[in-house]
Amino acid sequence: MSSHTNTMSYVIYLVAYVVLIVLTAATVSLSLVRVGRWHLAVGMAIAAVKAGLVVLVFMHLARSPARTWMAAFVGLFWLGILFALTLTDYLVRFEATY
Amino acid sequence: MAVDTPALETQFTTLEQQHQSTLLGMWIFLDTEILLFGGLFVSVFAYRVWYGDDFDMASGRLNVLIGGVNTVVLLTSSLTMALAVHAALTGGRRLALWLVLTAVLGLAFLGLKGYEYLSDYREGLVPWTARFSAREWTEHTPPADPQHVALFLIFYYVMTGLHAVHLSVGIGLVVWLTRRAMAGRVTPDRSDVAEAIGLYWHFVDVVWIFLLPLLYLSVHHTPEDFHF
Amino acid sequence: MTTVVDYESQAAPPPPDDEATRSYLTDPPGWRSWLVTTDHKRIALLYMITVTLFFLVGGAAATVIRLNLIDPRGGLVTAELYNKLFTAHGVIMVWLFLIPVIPSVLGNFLLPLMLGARDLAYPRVNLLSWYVFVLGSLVTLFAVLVGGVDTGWTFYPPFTTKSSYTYVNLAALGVFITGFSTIMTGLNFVVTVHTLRAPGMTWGRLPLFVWSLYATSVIMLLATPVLATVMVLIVVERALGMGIFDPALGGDPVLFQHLFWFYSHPAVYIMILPGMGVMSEIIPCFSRKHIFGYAFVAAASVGIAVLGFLVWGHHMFVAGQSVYAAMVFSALSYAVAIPSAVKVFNWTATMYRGSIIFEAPMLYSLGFVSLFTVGGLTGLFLAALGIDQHVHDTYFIIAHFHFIMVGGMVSAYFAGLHFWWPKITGRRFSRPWGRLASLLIFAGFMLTFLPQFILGYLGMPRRYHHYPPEFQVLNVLSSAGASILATGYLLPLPYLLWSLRRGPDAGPNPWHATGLEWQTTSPPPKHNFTRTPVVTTGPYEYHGAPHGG
Repeated sequence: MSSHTNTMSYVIYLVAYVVLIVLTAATVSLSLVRVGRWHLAVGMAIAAVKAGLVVLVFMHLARSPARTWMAAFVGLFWLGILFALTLTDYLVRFEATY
Repeated sequence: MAVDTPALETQFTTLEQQHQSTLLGMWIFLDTEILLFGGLFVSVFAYRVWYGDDFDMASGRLNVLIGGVNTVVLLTSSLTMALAVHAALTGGRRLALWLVLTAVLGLAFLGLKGYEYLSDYREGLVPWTARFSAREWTEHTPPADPQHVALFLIFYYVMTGLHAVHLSVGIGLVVWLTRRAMAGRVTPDRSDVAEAIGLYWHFVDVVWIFLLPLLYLSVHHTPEDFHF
Repeated sequence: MTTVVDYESQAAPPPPDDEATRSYLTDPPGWRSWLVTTDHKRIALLYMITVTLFFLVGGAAATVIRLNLIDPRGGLVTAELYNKLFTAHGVIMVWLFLIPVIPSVLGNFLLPLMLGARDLAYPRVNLLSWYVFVLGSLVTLFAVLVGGVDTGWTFYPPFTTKSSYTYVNLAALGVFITGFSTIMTGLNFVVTVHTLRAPGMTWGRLPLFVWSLYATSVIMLLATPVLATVMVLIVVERALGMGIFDPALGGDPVLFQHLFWFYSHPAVYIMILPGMGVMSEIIPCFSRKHIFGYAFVAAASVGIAVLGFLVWGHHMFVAGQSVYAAMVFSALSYAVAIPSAVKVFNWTATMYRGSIIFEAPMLYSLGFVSLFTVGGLTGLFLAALGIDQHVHDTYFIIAHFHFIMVGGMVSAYFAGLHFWWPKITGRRFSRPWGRLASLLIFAGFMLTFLPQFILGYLGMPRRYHHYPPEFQVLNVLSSAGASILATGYLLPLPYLLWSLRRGPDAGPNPWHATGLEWQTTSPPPKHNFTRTPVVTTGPYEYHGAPHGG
């Protein structure tokens, strides 16, 4: 029989779910507040927390072997490369089209 | 119920090895999906550096209520999927129920999305149709460049469209899994594929979690913006 | 020698005893069984036949190009057709040959054998990857050959999306589909290396070919999806007539180049890394010496895979990206040369004071090392912003990448093909003909591409149907070389095929090589090993010339 150390209890799933809903409500409500240029940054930060919850709890990463953690981080790290080096171009260069 | 021998393929020596290999494969596949959506995310961020104000104005016109509701729908479907996988791994009896709920919630998301696309069209937010009016944007206060607005909207449709395609595939997989479950062929020692499908489903959820703020929440909204 | 100790496998029952006497080529029988096979060795051969056909088609396009360039006025074809020809040549050679060839042919065949496994982790996905490859290839070939695409293999907008009236959408679709095949292969390889190594096969005992396939697979997995994304955006832009990359409509054509080269630069490492892995197998064997610096070569493979993702902007120095970004990419491009150089040093050090045996695989390998080095050094020239300004989009660039891809990669494939031919087919090929072909290829290659460095330096642009008459002599030399090169490439076909009928039996280990693949019969049985091997030593335990070697 396969090892089932990965799965977690009902309660943990439910708690994670509630937190996710609360965070969603928070992020949507935040748009009702005038925070100028910070909407996107805060929104993405909250999204990162939500995503982290889904990955750690629902996707069982918290209980997975090191190999799986590496797979997860490799994807993120490479995305980071794509972002970082592309933005070195766009942050410095501006095309005025008006 | 007949007792099936576990399906151990010849290239593996133990079931655990097969199990680990199935999960690792799905995680690595999800890495490729991160890069697939990542290309679109980086494009939007790159253009935002230049056209942020125009993008914000376009974003403000998207239906933030449907966006928010759909987020809740998809998060709930992740819960039901996690419970389904839990049932598959432990031999729980509600496996098929949780799977059906997951698929239903996924379909609800698609339904709401379709309705949203229709209302976007009616409001002139589909830039390659005649209803899109460039003048509406140039005469806006403050004025926005309709080409940049169009650029934002194109990415909105491409990203949510690609997400919807992935969600549809996920629904198909869940339906297939449900039928297997109802035939009694998803048991704790034949649960690898269920776990793998669960991982895929959660990933589709994670993509949406990031699409929500990027597309809908980058700008201030008033309560009047919340309507169906 | 890697010690093989008989060891009963645990949960899976051993294959029937007489299976060991049956070759995978005939077990199970009938041609139809080949189309539904999950045997990695058969799938490798399916790929081999397909990519060889595509190589010939891409080579035919190159032949017409070189014939056209004999006359400065562009003697043979119209300018429009010329554009379609170099596009077809590039698209076919990159996506339908160079990217799949070593991983899907040699990698598929050898990876489980080298690991001591019975098959890859996902045999059905492996078969699916071939069908997807064939489908994508047919769509692509139809687009570039029947329809015709004139954008160059790089598909730059706005020309591609606004002005080109050719079959761009279909070509983009074809490439998109073959990308899935690449991803499936990469996925299979990574999981296989992680989970199916034989007992005792630690990471430090993996053959370097396996290390290079692993690194290649990581690149395949992380780069190819971005290609898929950018192809989708091209099609969307064409279909909607709205600007994603079109500057007249508010878009940025450089964004396309960022996304395209984020994939396409690592793609060149997808192409070359497996070739380097082949070198690391052949050179120790034909020097009768342990590889010099195993750990460094393995680390260099990983280093190339990682660093290769950080340099894509060096294709865009003159495209309009910011100077600061260009400087960053330039510096990183120097860095990526280091692991490649490490490998060249280590191969050379392996040969030093070894007992060199000049069989065909080794001759191809010597060709690889020298030609790859030249190509790599010219890459350093190109990493310098000042030089690249002058030679970008000239024949200097063409010579640079052909030295690496053709002088390097194709030589490596031929080296590997000849080295493992006895294992794959159970037959030995003609030694004199094998040597002759390798020398012809080397000589033909030099004559074809050395003049192109000079042409580029003197300013002849690439992708030009006709050119100023002062460049004619060098062009004629290059075309003459191409005829020799073509002959050299065609030569193995007859003698390799002949060996299938009349070649002597190879026996399990005709080259007296180490490695688990040589511990089983030639050709191997369906499940590779009668019993799971147990590994107790590292690879490359060579100790001088073998008996009667």
